[in-house]
Amino acid sequence: MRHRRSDASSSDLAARARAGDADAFTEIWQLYSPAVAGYFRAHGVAEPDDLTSEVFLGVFAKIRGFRGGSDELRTFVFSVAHHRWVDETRRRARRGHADEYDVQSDPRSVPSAEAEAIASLEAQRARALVEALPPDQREVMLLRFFGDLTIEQTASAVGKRTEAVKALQHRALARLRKILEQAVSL
Amino acid sequence: MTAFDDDEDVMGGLWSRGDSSVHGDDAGFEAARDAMRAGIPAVPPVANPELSTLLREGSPRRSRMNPVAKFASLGLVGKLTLAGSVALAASAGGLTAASLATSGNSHASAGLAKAAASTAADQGTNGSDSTSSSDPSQPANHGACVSAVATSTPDPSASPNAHGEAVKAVATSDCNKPSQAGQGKPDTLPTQANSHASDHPTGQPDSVPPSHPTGEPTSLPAHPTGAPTG
Repeated sequence: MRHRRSDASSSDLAARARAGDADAFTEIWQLYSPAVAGYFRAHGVAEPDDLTSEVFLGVFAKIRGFRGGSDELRTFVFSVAHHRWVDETRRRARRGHADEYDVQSDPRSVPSAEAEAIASLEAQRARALVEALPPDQREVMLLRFFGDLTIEQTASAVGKRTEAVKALQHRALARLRKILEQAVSL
Repeated sequence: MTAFDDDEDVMGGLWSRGDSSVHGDDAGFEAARDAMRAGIPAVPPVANPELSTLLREGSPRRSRMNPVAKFASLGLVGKLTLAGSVALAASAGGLTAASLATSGNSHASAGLAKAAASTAADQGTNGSDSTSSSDPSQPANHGACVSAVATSTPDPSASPNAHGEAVKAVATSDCNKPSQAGQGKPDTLPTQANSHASDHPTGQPDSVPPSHPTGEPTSLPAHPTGAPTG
């Protein structure tokens, strides 16, 4: 499920959101919140929905200063999500433990159809692979996967140089490939 | 410069291979992305109460009107009500300051008189016509009352601490303060604004010599800065 909008409609959406329009807020929420929730779930956050709500509260609080179209809006949303994740990581480090996300124990993940169950298994396997990556590589990959951000947009969201993000992605994919090859050979 | 830029894997031969190494990742990237995105929920998550309210009601627009424009936009009734409120508050403060102005300290008296005059000025000659005499620029609060005394010029012949004592006396008074009825505070200060000992409102000890309010020895030089006159 990929969301692409024309720049004109996204600019109009952003303009309405800047004016405090509730319908525009709802539209932005419906457009981007599933991907943001998926991003937090892939990070193993205990309460991904709560964190997603906090991200959008932050987005709407700052939207008056936002300028741009659909690409900029998506980058903006995931930039806020990234910073919220960094805050969450620091908070968990202070608490001294990390809550591992277990999709089986999540009461909200109730597969109602076979296709959904298969998709869930696929996602679970992919998530397990991503968890094997170092944090910086994982962050780049999750922003690329869930935010559908380009290398440049990802660099902007995480505050790194484009070349560094390219390198992190390359190394992440090489590592994933290696893990998969090892799994196949066993 | 990030922490990763120093990594030899980043700075080394990776880029000598050109962009083909990145393009070569495309197939793996697409496959991994599709697998990961399968975990994206089909419907938006449940918004928390604060966000739900925001999504339902939107955010209020901030007014960019300046105060003058806001006043101008008021209707006749609004303007009359606002002016009446200002005049009422100012007149109450002026009366309090006037009662304090009977103090025995000349500087305090002058300052209080000034404060009273400034706050009472908008009463005009006809107290019943509050709307025509009101002036929002006139001071109508405790700070203005204190400021009037603090900015007044002290009498050169007064003692070095007279100005400070006068300001203190007004600051601790109820000049232009809202009514304190029922809160156990006196409505007015003692008639001696610079008084001390038993009748001082701040409860200074009785042992303070009556000749000097701060308790400094009377043998100090009269020079305000304390510098020797010779």
